[in-house]
Amino acid sequence: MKKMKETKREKLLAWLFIAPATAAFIAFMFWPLVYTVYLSFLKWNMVAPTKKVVGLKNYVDVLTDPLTAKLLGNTLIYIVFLVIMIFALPYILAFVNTFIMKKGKGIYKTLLFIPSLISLVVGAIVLQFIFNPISGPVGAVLGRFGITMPSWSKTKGLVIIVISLVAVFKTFGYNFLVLLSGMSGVSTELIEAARLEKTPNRKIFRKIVMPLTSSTAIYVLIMSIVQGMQYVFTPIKVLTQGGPNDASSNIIYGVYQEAFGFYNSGKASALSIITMVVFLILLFLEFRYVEKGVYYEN
Amino acid sequence: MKIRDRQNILWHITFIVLVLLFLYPIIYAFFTSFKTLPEALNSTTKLLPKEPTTEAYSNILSKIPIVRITINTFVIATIVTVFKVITGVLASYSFVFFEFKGKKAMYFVLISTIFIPFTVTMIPNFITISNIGLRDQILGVALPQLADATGIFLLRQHMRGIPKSLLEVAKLEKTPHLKILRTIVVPIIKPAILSIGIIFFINSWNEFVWPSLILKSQENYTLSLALQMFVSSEGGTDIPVAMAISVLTMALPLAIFAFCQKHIINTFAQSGIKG
Amino acid sequence: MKRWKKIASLLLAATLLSGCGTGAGKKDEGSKDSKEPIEISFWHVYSENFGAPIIKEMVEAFNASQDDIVVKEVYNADMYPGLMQNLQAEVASGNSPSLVMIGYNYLKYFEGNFKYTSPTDIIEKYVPEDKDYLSSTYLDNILELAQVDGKQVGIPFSISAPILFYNADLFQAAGLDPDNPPKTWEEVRAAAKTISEKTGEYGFYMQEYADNWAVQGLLEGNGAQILSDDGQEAVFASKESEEAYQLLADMVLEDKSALHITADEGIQAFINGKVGILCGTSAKIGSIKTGAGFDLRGAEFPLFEGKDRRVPAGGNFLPIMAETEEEQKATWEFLKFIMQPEWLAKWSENTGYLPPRQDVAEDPDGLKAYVEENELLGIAFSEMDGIYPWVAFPGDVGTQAEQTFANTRDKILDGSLSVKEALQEAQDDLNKLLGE
Repeated sequence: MKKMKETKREKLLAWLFIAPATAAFIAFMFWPLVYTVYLSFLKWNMVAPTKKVVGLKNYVDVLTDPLTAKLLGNTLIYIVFLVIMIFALPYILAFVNTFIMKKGKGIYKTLLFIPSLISLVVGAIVLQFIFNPISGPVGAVLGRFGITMPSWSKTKGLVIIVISLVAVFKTFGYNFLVLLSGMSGVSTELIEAARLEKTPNRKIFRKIVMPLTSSTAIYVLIMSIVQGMQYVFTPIKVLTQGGPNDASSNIIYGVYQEAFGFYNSGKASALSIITMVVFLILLFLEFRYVEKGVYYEN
Repeated sequence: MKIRDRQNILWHITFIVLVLLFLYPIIYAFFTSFKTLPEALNSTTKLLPKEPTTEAYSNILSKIPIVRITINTFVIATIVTVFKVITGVLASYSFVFFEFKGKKAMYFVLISTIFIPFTVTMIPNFITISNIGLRDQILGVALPQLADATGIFLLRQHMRGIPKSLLEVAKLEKTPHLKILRTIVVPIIKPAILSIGIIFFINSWNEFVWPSLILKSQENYTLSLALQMFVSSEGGTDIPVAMAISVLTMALPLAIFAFCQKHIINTFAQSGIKG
Repeated sequence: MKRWKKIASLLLAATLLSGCGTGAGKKDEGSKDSKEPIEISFWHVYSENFGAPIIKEMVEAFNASQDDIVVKEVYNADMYPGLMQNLQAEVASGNSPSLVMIGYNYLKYFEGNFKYTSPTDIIEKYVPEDKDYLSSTYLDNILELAQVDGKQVGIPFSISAPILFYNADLFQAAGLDPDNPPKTWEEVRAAAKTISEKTGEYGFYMQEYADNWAVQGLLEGNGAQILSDDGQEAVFASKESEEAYQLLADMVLEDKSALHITADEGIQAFINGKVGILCGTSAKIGSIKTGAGFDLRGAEFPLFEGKDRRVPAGGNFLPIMAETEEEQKATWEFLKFIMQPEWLAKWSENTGYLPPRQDVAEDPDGLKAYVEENELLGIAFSEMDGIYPWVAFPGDVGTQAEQTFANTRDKILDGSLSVKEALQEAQDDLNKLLGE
C-alpha cells in the first residue's frame, strides 16, 4: 500500500519536474508546429485574405522540385565539412592537448574560446573582407606565391567551404573546450599504463580515449550538426543569399527563402516538416544504434 | 625522450598557428574599429590603422543609447540562461532518475525539436507574443528562446553518468528529490551546467533574427540590433562602427569569461565529470 | 541553487519593471479624447550611416511643427526584404504600421496581398482641396513607378538609377583618356579590355545583387523586353537580350576583363582601386566616395549604338496602411510634409537618390547648387527622363520569378550555359511559374 502511494507520488513528481520545460515547449514550439502542419496544407502566405486548401500538393511540389535535392545535397556537404572541422579536428586536438603535450598547454583553450563570442553577422563581414579575392589579405598572400584566388562566392563547392568557415570560427573553441573537459575524466594512469606497453598514440586514442569520452563526443557531434546548420544561415544570408544559383543554400536557408523571400508559407512549411522527419529518422537511428555503444558508468 | 620533446614543440607550433588563425579576424575587427571610415574601406590588407581614432566609439555613444542596449542584452541573456538551465536540470533529472509511462516518448519528442528550423516557429511565435502584449519588450524576446531542448539533451547525457548507487543511499534515507538534486546531482554535473550555460548565454547574447522582429524602439534594442543600425546593403556599411560595436559586444562576455576563467576551467577540469 | 533562484527572481523583477515602463501606455485607444495626439508609425529601412539621421530629422521637425500628430519612426534592418518579413509578421498578428516603405520590386506583391489605402482615395474622401496635388507635384513617369494597373498604390519617395563609376587613375595608367569615359557598351568593353591588359587590374564590374535591376538596364537598353505588353508573360529570350547579355558574358569569360563576384565584394574591390569601371546604383555614391582613394569620376549608364537609354528605377515608394480615418488623415499630413522640396533635397544630398519631384532639382533652394557641384549625383539626374519601372513579375510568385531570373546570371557568367540556352531555359521556367 505504502509503496504504491510512493510510486504514485514519484510519478507526479516526475511530471512536475518536466512541467516547466514542457510549458515553454508547448507555447513556443509545439503550438507553432501545429500551425506549421496546418499551413503546409494551404496555399496561403499568412497575410492574404484568401486561403486555399491544397491538400498534399505542397509536399508533392517539394518532393518533385529539383531544388529540394540540391538543398539536401548542399546540407550534407555543409554537415560533412563541419563535422570534420568542428568535431573531428577539435576531438583529436583535445586528445593531443591532454595526453601528448606538456607544459604551457593550458593557454590554448582560453585563446581558442574567444571567437565563440563573436556575432555571426560580424564574423561574416570580416570574412568577406579577409577573403575578398581581389582586394583582401588572403588573396594578396596567395598572389605572392603566384596563385590567383578564385572568386569563391561564385564557385560551386568552394562557396560552401568558405561560408562554413564562419561557423567553424565560431564553434571550434567551444567544442574544443567541452571535449577537453571530457578528456579530463579519463584517468592518466590508464594512459601511462598503455604507454608502458608501447601502445602508439593513435591506438590509445581509438581504444581507450574514444570509448571513455563517447558521451561527450556524441553531444558535440550532434551539436556540431544542429548548430552548424543554424550557424551557416547568417553568413549565407549576409554573403551570398544562397547563390550562385543556389549552390550555397541549405535546408534552413531554403525554408527561409521559401517563406520570407517567395511568400510560399505552405511550401516552406512542407519543406520544414520533411526536414524534420529526415532528422527524426537520423535521431532515431542514433538512439537505436549509437547510444547503445556509448559508455556510461552504470 | 628527445623525440617526445620534439613532438611536443611541433604540437605547440601547430596550436600557436591555429590560435593565430582564429584570432586574426578578431584582431582585424579590433584594429579596424580604430580606423577612419575611408581607411577601413580602402586599405583592407593593412591590419594597423595609420592614424588611430576613437571616432567610431564616440559615434556610437552619441547616436545610440549603448549602455541601455547593453543592459537589455544582458538581462535577456541572463533570463534565458538561468531559466533554461533550471528547467533543463529539472527535466533531465526526471528523465534519468524517475520511471514513468511515456518517458521515452516524451524525451524523444522534446529532443526532436532541436531539428526544427527556427524559421518555422518565427511567425506563429510572433503572433503569440503579440497577443500577450509583449511586442517591443524584453520579455517578448526572451520567452520563445526558452523552448530549447539542447540543455535537456546535454544534462541528461551527463546525469546518466552518475552512479545510481550514489542515489540509492540517499533514497533509502528518504531524502527529498529536490535535495538529492541540489546536494548530489548538481555538484557532480557542474561542469556540464557551466558549459551549457556559457553557450546559452552567448547564443542569446548574439541572437539577431528574433529580436529584430520583436523590438521596434531603440531604447529596447539589443546589441546585435544596434550593429544592424550601421549595416546597410544599399548604402554601404559603416565598417569601423560595426567593428566597434562588435568589439563592445564581445567585451562583456569576454570580461566575464576572463574574470571567472579560473573557476570555469577548474570546474571543467574537476575529474568528477565522466565523459 | 538557492542563490540562482534569488538571482533569477531579481532579474525577472528588474525586467518586468524596465520592460513595463517602456511598452505600456502606447495602445490606449479607448479614450476618445480629441486632445490626445494621434500616434502614427513610419516604417523605413535606413540605417544610422545611410539615411536614418535625415529620416529622424524629418520626423522630429514634423512632430515639433504641430500638436495633433506624433510620428514614430521604426527602423527595419536588412533593407526591403527585411522590412517585408517584419511586415508579414506584423500583419499576420493583426497589426500594421501607418506608413511603410516598400521597394519597387515588391510593388505587385504588396498590392495583391496587403491592405492599404490609395492616396487618390484618401484625397477624394478626406482632403478634396488636394485634388491636384499628385498631378501637379509629380511627373507622370514617376507616379507610374508606384502604380499597378493604373491604380496609385503609394507615392514614390526614393529613386535610384544605375550609373558608371570609374577610376580615372586607372584610365590614365592604361593610356585611356579619363576625360572621355565610354558612352556605349562597345566602348565599355574596349576600355575594360585595355585596362586589364595594361594595368593587370580588372576593367569592369556590374553589380550582382540577388536581383536583375542592373541587368534589366542592360537588356532594355538594347531594345529587349522583359515582360510582354500585358505584363503576364516573360519574353526576354529574344535576340536583343541575347546580344546584350552576350556582351557581358564575353567580357567575363572571353576577355577576362570583367569580374563575376557578389556585389559587396565587387564594390569593395572597386573602392580598393582594383577595378576600372563599376556599373552600380547611385545610392552607393556616398559610400564609394568616402572610401575611394583615387580620382573617382562618373558617367551615364552606357547605351547601345543608335538606341535610347532606358534605366530601371530602384528605390522605394510609400503606401499608407493606416486604417482609421483619423490615422489616415494624419499619415497624409506627414507624407505631404516630408515630400516638400527642402526635405527631398536634403534626402537626395545625403543618399544619392533622385527626388520624385522635378522641381526639387531645379529649385535654387533645392538641389540646384548641390547638383552642379556634385558630378556623380548630376549624372544620375541627367538620366531622369530615361527612367522606367523596375520590372515586378506578376502575381504571388513575383519574387520567386525574380530569383529564377537572377540565377540565370550565374549560369551565364560562369560559362555553364550559353546565353541563348540560359535565357530560353529561364523564360520557360518563369512562364511555367507564372502560369501556375
